[in-house]
Amino acid sequence: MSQQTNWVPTSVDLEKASAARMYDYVLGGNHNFAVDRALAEELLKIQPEVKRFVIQNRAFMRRAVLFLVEQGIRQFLDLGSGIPTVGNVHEIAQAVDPTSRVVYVDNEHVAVAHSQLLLENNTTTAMVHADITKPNLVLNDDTTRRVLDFDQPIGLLAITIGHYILPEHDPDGVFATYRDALAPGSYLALTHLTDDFAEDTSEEIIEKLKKSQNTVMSRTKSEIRSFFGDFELVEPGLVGTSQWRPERDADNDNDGLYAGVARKR
Amino acid sequence: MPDPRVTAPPVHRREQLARAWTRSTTAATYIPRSPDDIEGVLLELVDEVLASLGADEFSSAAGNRIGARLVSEGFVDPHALAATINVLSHELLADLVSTPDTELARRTVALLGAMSAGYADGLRDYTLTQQEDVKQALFNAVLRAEHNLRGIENRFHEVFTSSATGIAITDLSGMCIEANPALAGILATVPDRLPGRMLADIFRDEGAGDVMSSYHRLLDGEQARVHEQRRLRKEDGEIAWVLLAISLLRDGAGAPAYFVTMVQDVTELHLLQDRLGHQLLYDALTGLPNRQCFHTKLESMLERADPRSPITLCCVNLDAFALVNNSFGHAVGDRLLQTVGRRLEEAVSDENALVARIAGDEFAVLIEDSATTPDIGDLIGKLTAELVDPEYIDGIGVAVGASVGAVRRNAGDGDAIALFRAADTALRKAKRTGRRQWAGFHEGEDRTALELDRLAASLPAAWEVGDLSVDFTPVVRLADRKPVGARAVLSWDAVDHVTCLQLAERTGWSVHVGPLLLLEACKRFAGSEGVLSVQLTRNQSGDADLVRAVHRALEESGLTADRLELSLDVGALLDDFGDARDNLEVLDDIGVRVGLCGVTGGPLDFELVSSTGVRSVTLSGALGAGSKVLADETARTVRMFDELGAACSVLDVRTAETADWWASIGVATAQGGVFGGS
Repeated sequence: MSQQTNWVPTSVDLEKASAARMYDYVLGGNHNFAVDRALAEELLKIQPEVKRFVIQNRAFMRRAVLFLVEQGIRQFLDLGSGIPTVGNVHEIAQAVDPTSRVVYVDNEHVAVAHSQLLLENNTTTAMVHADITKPNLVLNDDTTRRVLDFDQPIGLLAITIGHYILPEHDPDGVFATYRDALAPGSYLALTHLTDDFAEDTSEEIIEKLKKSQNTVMSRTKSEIRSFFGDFELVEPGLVGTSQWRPERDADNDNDGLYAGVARKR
Repeated sequence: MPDPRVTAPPVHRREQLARAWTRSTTAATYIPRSPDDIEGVLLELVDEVLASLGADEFSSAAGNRIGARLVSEGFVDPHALAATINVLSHELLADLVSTPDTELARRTVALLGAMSAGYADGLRDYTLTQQEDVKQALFNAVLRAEHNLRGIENRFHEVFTSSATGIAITDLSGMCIEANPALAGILATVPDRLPGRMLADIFRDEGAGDVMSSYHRLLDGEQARVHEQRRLRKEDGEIAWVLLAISLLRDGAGAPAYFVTMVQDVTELHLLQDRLGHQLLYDALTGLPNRQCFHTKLESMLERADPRSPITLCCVNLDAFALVNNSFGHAVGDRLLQTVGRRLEEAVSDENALVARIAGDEFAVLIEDSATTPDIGDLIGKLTAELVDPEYIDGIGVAVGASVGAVRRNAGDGDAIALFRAADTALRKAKRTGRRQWAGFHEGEDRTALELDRLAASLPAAWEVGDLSVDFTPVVRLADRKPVGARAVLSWDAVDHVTCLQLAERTGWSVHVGPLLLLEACKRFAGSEGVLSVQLTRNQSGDADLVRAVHRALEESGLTADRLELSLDVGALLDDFGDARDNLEVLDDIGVRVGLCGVTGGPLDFELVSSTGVRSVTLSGALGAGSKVLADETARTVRMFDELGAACSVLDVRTAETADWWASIGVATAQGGVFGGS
């Protein structure tokens, strides 16, 4: 269990909705509060598709993790892992190979507390309480270093996290620092909110989310592409979440998020 | 025998049913499994549904089980239940064409009802379990936050007490609540004395500023942070220079609550800055203002003085100070400089005067003249008289003379630079005329000097554009007045050859341009008959590169060495200036005719001619003019050189009579206006 690395801890704020808890709510979890549910319902009213986006995003994560396991990846660093609702990375990966190692990183107290509860006595999986926009704190955390071997390939997961990194936090620098820390053969899998498919609802959603603890910003395909740096995108490239290696014929509906997986040479 | 109204459940469509069920539920809820996996589970449930509906004895208990199973398989979203009921009721009853009041319909409805109940129970348990988790997690999170908070407090306390920076926490009225030991140290008090006191009392500003004004600016939101430097009075009365960094702390609700003031003691830094500033303006050895400081003070004095009030500026240069340094060592030299500084100050102690050390061995004395200020001669006499007494340093009596240049004028007549220049010109003149001398400044000289400086500075440009070039003036044998060669001279419209050379010497440019002139002269003369004469300046004579330049000039022009006569400056040779003596020897060795110029006919000149290979001596035409005594002396000199084997040549012969006279005393060659040329 990691020590809080911030000088001053963020407190458990039950008066403002949190992205992690709203996400949990939309996925049918109960680790949320009235304020989270109320804001999530407001969002669903503006864009009923949000629920489908969330489900597709979660389903992408499962396919991506399984894909990485197939490629031989046995270590995962899950940035902004959120509340362990259902189908968490370690469950997916360890179902295939029980020796798979996973480090979750989140800054939301409830998410951290839950994950720690869930992971008690689990030696191959750990929770790090840190702000993912401070990559050096994450990468040099004792727990991170204990669980993951950075000389071996790692699957870096940035699922629905990039859009919380606002320009003032230097998203390009944040991603570059994570990428640089990885050994050759590592992968980066990410999903990111975009307006590219939108029917003008994102702006309203973004406006609503300003009430929460987590302000978001959507980005274009090329902006999101740049987060992969010189990593090589695997087929089918950067696409809508449901279009990425679907298990059954994907419906052609658009998603609110881009998804992609890329490999470090 | 079943009731005829019973329609059999659609067993043949079991797979289609499972597929439709899968599609509708996975759209409504996320199950972290592959679609095939989910469909497998739902197919099992379809079979159970079908079995239950087709059983001889119907019981809805299966519905409860299936509902609970759905929850445990992860279909926890109520929308999944809605989707389930929608799909099942539609698919199970699809075969009923008309009368819905069949046993199958009755059973289906009962089953779905039971399924809903079972689902609701399962979901309640699921939710309660999760809520337990939530409570536990929240409790843990709060515990940890409190734990962290304690850690933070400890850390803060450690920083607070061990910091080298003074820290004060005050409330909004400016009352100190807590102060750390470093702050107490800076203010020369004990930490416990500070809480309860007001900021204005703690930070007693020596400047005019009100300490609290910065705090008010923060409170008004004009600034987020304040950084400022202040001069504080410490408890013990001493002054401390401090840097203050003030910021506002807010409470949980964002309202202003406290001020935090960080205090850094920069007193030592300040003293150091002062000292550096002093060193920049004052000479460390004598404590007198340095040149820069003197200049600034002179400027400001000229500005504020009545333009009609007279001022006097003296530049004092020590004669042979280098000799003192070399003979007695620098320590003695330094002591002497201190003495000179002190004595100069004493000499003008009755005046409104400023003494400065403006260069290594040069001092300046500025006097705002009053009714009792002595005239300039007496003033300088007073200064030199002060310096004349020897100073006994470590038992050694040391005294140096000084040359003084002085200028007296009205404050409104010209700026500081002009005044300095005038005094400096007077000083150079004093130096030229001899040591332990002084010279006043004459306006006309200054203008001439300025003009010469300007010309000297424009020489290189004149050479570049071709305004300045080499010309030749014929040299004749006095015996028969036949031309025997030519002398190379500089030709420039602005000034004559001699002045031109003096200017070139003044800037040092002569050394640079010498080889070029030589080459140019040799090239142009090579096709002519006779000997080419070139006179060298002092600097050119001592130039280490002279021999190489001669070699090159001969080589490139094709002129043979014996057709080149180079006259070296006799002063340079006597002073052993630079490589002058070596140059003479080597040039002689390679066959160049070496001569002397600038000769006056002193015994040393004769000695030089007798001990070297000098073959000719160039005399100034001026030596022939004037008194009979001088004429006799000149004749004797020529005879003497002749006996020593050096042929004499004379410059600037203007009339036939003088030419005859020079011939009569045995001078071999001559040049000048009477023979054409300059």
